[in-house]
Amino acid sequence: MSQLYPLTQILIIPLAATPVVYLYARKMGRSAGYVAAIPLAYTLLLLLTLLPEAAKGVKHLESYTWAPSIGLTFGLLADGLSIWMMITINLLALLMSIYSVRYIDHRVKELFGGESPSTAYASYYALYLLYEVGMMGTVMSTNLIQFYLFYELMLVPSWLLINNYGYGDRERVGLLYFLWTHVGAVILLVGILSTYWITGSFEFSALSLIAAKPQAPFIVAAFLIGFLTKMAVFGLHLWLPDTYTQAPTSITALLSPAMSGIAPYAIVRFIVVPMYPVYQRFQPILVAWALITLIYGGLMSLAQDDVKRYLAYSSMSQMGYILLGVASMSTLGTSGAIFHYVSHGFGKCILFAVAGALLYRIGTLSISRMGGLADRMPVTATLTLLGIFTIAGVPPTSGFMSKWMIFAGVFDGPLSTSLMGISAATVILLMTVITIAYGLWIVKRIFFGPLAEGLEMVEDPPASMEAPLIILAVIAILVGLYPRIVSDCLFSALSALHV
Amino acid sequence: MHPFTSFIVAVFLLLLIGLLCLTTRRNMIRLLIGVEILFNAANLNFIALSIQRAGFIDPLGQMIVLMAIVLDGCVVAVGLVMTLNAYRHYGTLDVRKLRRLRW
Amino acid sequence: MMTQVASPMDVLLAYPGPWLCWILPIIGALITPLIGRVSRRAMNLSAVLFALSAVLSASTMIPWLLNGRWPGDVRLMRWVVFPDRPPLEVGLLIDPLSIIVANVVALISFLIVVYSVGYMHGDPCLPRYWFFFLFFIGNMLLLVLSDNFIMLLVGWEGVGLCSWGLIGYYYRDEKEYWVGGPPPTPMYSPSHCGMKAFIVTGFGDVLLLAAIFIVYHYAGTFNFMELIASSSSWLRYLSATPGLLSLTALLMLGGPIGKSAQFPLHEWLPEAMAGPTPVSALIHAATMVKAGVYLVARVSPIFYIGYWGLGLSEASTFFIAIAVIGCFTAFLAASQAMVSLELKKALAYSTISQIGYMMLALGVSGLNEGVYTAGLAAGIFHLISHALFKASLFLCAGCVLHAVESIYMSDMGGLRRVMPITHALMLIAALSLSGIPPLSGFWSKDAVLHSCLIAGTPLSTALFIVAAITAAMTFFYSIRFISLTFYGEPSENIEEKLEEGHLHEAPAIMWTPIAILDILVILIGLIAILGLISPAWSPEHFLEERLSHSIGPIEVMTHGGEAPAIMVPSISGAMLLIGGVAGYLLYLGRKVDARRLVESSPLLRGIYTFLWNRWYINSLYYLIFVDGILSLKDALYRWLESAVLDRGLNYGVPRLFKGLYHELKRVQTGVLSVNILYLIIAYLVIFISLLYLFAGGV
Repeated sequence: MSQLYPLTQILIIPLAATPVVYLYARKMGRSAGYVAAIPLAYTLLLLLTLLPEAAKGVKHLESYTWAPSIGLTFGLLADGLSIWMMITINLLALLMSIYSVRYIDHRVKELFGGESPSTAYASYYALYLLYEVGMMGTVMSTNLIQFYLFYELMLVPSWLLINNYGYGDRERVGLLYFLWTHVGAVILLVGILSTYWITGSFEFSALSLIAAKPQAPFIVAAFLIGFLTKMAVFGLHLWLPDTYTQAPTSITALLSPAMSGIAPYAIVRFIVVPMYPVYQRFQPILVAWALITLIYGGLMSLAQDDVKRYLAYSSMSQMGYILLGVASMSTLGTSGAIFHYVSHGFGKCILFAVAGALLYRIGTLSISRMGGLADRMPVTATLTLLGIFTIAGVPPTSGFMSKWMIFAGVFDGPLSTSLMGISAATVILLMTVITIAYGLWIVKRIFFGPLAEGLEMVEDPPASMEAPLIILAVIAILVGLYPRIVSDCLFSALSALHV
Repeated sequence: MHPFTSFIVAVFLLLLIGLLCLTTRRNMIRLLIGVEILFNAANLNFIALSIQRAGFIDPLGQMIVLMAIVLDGCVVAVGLVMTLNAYRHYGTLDVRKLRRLRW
Repeated sequence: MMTQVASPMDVLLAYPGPWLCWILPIIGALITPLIGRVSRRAMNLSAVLFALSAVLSASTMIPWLLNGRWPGDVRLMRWVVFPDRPPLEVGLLIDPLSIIVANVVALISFLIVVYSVGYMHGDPCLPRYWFFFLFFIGNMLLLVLSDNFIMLLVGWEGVGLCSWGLIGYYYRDEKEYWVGGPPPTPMYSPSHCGMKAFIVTGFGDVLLLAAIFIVYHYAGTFNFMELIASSSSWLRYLSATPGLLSLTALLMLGGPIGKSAQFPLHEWLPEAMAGPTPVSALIHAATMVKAGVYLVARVSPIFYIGYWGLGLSEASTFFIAIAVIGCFTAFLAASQAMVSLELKKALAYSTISQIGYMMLALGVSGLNEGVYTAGLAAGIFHLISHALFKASLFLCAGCVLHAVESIYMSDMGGLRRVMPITHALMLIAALSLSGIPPLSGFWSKDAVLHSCLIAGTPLSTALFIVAAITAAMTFFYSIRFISLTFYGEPSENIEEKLEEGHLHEAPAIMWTPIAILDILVILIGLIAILGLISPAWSPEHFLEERLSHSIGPIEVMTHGGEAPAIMVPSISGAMLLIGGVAGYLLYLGRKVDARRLVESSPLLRGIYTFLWNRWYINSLYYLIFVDGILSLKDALYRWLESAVLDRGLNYGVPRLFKGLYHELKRVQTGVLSVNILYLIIAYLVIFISLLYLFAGGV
């Protein structure tokens, strides 16, 4: 199998498909979404063939020489940790591509009236594929410079997509998003360059050499700040509400779960695995920060009227959970965190897609103008419920599995050595009730109660928008029933962690 | 005083005068004269450096000055043309009118 | 006993009953709504058949119970594999406790499914109803049968989910389905009630989760049998941190307190009455609320071993806490039932109160070393008995509500003549609730009181007194709701309906299950009478004997304190007399007008208002949690997020930079002299730095 270089294919094929899709879209318009889905489906199949090996702990590595003078190789890695990140990103990109067909059609017609230029669809799908390539490249990288390259690379298409197809004050918001993430990335770059200066190499394996040096805490702090900005923790979250709200919904469905979640993966890859002793010192701060993010995101989401803004704050809160798992300093917790990335990916994608469907059918995202829609949109209501359950951790969805692993990890790590620590952990657990509270709250506000005015003609969105969501919900439940698909991979990669 | 030292002092004084003229004068013709003074300071500098060793005159310095004088003629010519154009455009020789290269 | 076999198929074939018991209803939940697209009758039939299959599968376990040899822990397959500790496996724990509760659940579920076919006839959203109903049955059975905490949690949260779905069944929130009131008391919509239930129980669930993971950290396993077997080692590690064992005990109780609606998490159950009555009967009387009792019984051996086996004093916190909470809740809820206006609310309070009795018995069982099996048996006996008669009460209430079309007892009255069967059935069940011999409720309640008495500690004696007083209140409110509904003068509402000819007895499909339940109640009572003569027939003795094995390898003293056998019946009889006389005077015989009595005395009026407002606990919760959070979120959003953070960073920083730019651009004046000046300065700087770099300074 390695003779066929699957990882290189995964990177190259969507890239090569970009001009094809662009030209196709100029001619054929909106159905380019289906065409864009073809390379993505193919890469997903490739990933699934790599899955059994990764579950056993085998690392699949392909490397090419890049710049020998500074010792850079271009490497692509698929191991237990990254395989599910890639599968999630790929799956979401694939399904949202199909979803985009109708949705972007609607948006383009809104933007340009009847006179949409032929490039409207073309640039969307082309940028979409480039964005996906950027994300995949980030997750597959084996050295810091390559990671940074793809990290910035996924910034540009998403910025352009927000700029061109977003809502409201989209130019400003696009710039806001770009600058915030970029500042974080530059701080990250400081850490990267310091690593090179100390160890002389950019490879991930070199990171463990820093652990004993006195500069290590500062480098770790630099990395952390960079990634926490991407994760939108409290204080660094200010780009998130506007960006997720004003971006086109199919892109938000990728931005929110897939892209923001690359940050915790990177934290695990850069810091947790190689530099564990240094990282442990950060635990109190990170746990407290995670808790604040969790509660704050939950409270803020309750205060919203716009569905997408509500979901944006909910994403912030979920990132708090994932950070909690990462901060728990235990194998169980860290695996739970990455597992939750997958579950949250499924659930949040469903929810954002539902928001897009609501916009498509109703024309507004204002919660106060909705109500009683369960009668008119039963499938959408069920999907929303399943999405909420996946992120809130209600069985039989995969969210249940990932949530309890994070909780077990919180109690498993160094936090459990004192009564104070345990009480703090219990408080953290108590605050998680807020997730189910805000989840049920929105379901009630949108779908239950009497039918709101002006909504008599509403019905379920078309099949090409619903089918992807149904597939996601089914996958979420299947993974929940058979969690070993994910947990085996994660444990095999992270088993050395538990001290 | 050693002639070299006096030359350098003269160069310095000429520089000062030239710069002072450039910073404090408004009339474009006067600015050109200031530029000329600076130019002369530079030439004098070269001459000074060519005689700094007792008993030997470095021909390179003197050659450079000769060529520079020729080029200076061209510079002055272009400068005067620009001044003329500016005068025609703005109707005055006040250099403060040429302020478009700003924020 | 653990069985580890190579192939899951072998396990399924070896013990098909327990596995099918919970799998079939879940499959039914998925299939029945689909059948509903084809034919309504087929769908109803399918639901009944799946429920029946659960009963039959569960009943295959009864032989094991009777002959005293059961499979124990049966493992199927590995669910999650960990790198450094034993895997989490899918398995069932089949022992007397789970067999008994599973059968009770399956049987009552089946009877209520049959009842629902009649009650929900004509409802347009029936497929959704059947989905949640059957899914509930499957999850409840999974909860009861699972052998480890994680699978129990799956069932636990699953039943919570179904409870939410079924309470909020009438999600369109039509006015006729709202509960509460009459105004000015607040009224709540069904969707609100569903949310309230999920969130309050979720609160308790989270506490349970914390306890489970604390235990997991020390024990390394989720499996009940393994936890009990290895308890001597991990309990010691746990108790090494002072206060941790008490904290774990309290957290572990959080889940049962939430799920079983005990104080302080009891306020969701009265609102849960917004759901259709079969739902109230099944979930909120007979099964889901018993899940907490089951869990307490399941984990109490651990704490028993901790306290009486290992001498860890903190382990007693578990028993003391649950006993006190159970007893207090029993009293609290009974007091509220005495003034309730809605029929189903009275029954809801009664449920809370009776579960308090069960919790009391389970708690008291750990206060004295020898009382353990007696207390455990008493609690489980009362669980069975209460499930039967409370389900019957609710189903009868459903018949009444169906006919009367109002939830308030003030709109009822004199129904005895119109609905004689319902009256008779409800009366039997109410008498059992009150503890009138020879019905089952008498035996089970006296078992609870007996175990309190023989525990012998000052605490248990105090609890005994409170429990006895509550028994008096129980009889009082039972007479009250029976009289208000069936006796006395018909209300205006009834008069109207009688004139229109719309009032009639319930159809056979609805009262037949109730009759079966009542027959079982009477049967248990008769068996218990036989038990007085020959101990082998006594239900309590049987339960005690079977449950003594649930403690695992530890030998348990089966007899602790002694008390004269006549003492408990005589005290409970006296209480019944007090309650009965008061009830008769006020309601049945109408000798004293209750309303005038209350209004005549300010003290009574104060007590009445206090009880009517649910001890102000509900209002307090709404004030702190609902209003508090609602205003907090708005305040935070407006003052922190928008004003400070968003404006500060997203607008402030650009403005800062723009301001800086505006100021700095003034440097470029465009004036030649200024530029020359810059040049001069620049040259000076370069010159001086060159001097320093190469010539070592001036």
